Amino acid sequence: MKIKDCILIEAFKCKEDESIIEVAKKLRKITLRHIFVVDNKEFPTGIISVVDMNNRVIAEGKNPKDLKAKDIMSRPIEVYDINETVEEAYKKMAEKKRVMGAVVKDSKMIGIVTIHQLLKGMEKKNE
Amino acid sequence: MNRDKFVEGYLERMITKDKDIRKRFESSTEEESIHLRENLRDALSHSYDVYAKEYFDGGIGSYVSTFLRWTGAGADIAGSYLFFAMGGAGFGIKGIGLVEKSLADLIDSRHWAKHAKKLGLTERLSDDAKISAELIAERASAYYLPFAGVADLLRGRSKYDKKVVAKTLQYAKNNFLDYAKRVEAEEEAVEKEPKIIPLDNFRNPDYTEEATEPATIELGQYRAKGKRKAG
Repeated sequence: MKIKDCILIEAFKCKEDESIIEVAKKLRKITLRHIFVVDNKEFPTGIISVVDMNNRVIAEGKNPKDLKAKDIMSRPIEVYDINETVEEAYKKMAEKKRVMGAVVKDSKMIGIVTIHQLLKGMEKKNE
Repeated sequence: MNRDKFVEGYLERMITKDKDIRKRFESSTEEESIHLRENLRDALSHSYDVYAKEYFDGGIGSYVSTFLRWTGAGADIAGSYLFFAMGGAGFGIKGIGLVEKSLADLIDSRHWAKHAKKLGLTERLSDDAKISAELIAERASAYYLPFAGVADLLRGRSKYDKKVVAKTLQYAKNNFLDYAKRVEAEEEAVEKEPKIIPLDNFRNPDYTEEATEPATIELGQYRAKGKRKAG
């Protein structure tokens, strides 16, 4: 079974050059705690959490108007190809102690896969 | 051989004996197998029309060659036995038989060559060489071996037929495998699109802008009330 057979979450993403204020507005609107950062070719390069906003902007006393997504994002991140098997993806995710990851198709981010979906996929395969 | 006989005769044989075709059937569901079988039947039928129909509708030439082949075989066999009783005359009868069979081969070979040229079968020259070699061996052995004449008769025109049938089956097989690959690619393309849940499903209602508004209004109202009291 491959990632393409799993149920994915719509890609929640922003551009590397997007201002932090815009990113914060997106996070407020969607109410998720993480947003993926993609480059000009839509390939995921980092991730920003609301904790990053707090620790790397507010706590540092930086002006959010001067910052872009790429300045505060965590990187590198694990990227999963849609044709990767659920076993391979789970192994990578578990090693990095992550619970979700960006999924790409033809090197473009198309969604998010959770560890829960990967486990479900492995369970389905073993039935 | 007519189309129906050809299609029915080779359909099951191709499904069970050809490993590429068998593989496709083994990996398909019952419903898919029905579609695959129908497509293979169509491929065989179409291939027959393109490659074999004209050849097997041999016309008067095929009747003449069949007549010559049978009478030639009869004379050949009779000549072999009469040789012991009549000596040279028996040998002469055998000779007539061999000439008749050679004429039959000539007719069939010309029919085959015409057909092969029309279809542009590039292997024709090597096929011709092989068939000619077989003919020489058969004719020569007919003089020495008692049953070689019978074997020659049984092989008859089939040595040409086999070449045409092989080409026809190969063409049908290629068509069928192309179809199976196309179906597989289409199915894969449909499967490739994963199911994606929209982000709206993950919104936390406690943190939406709508949820924060009433709190602000209430606070504003409270302040307004406070101001009025103070005033």
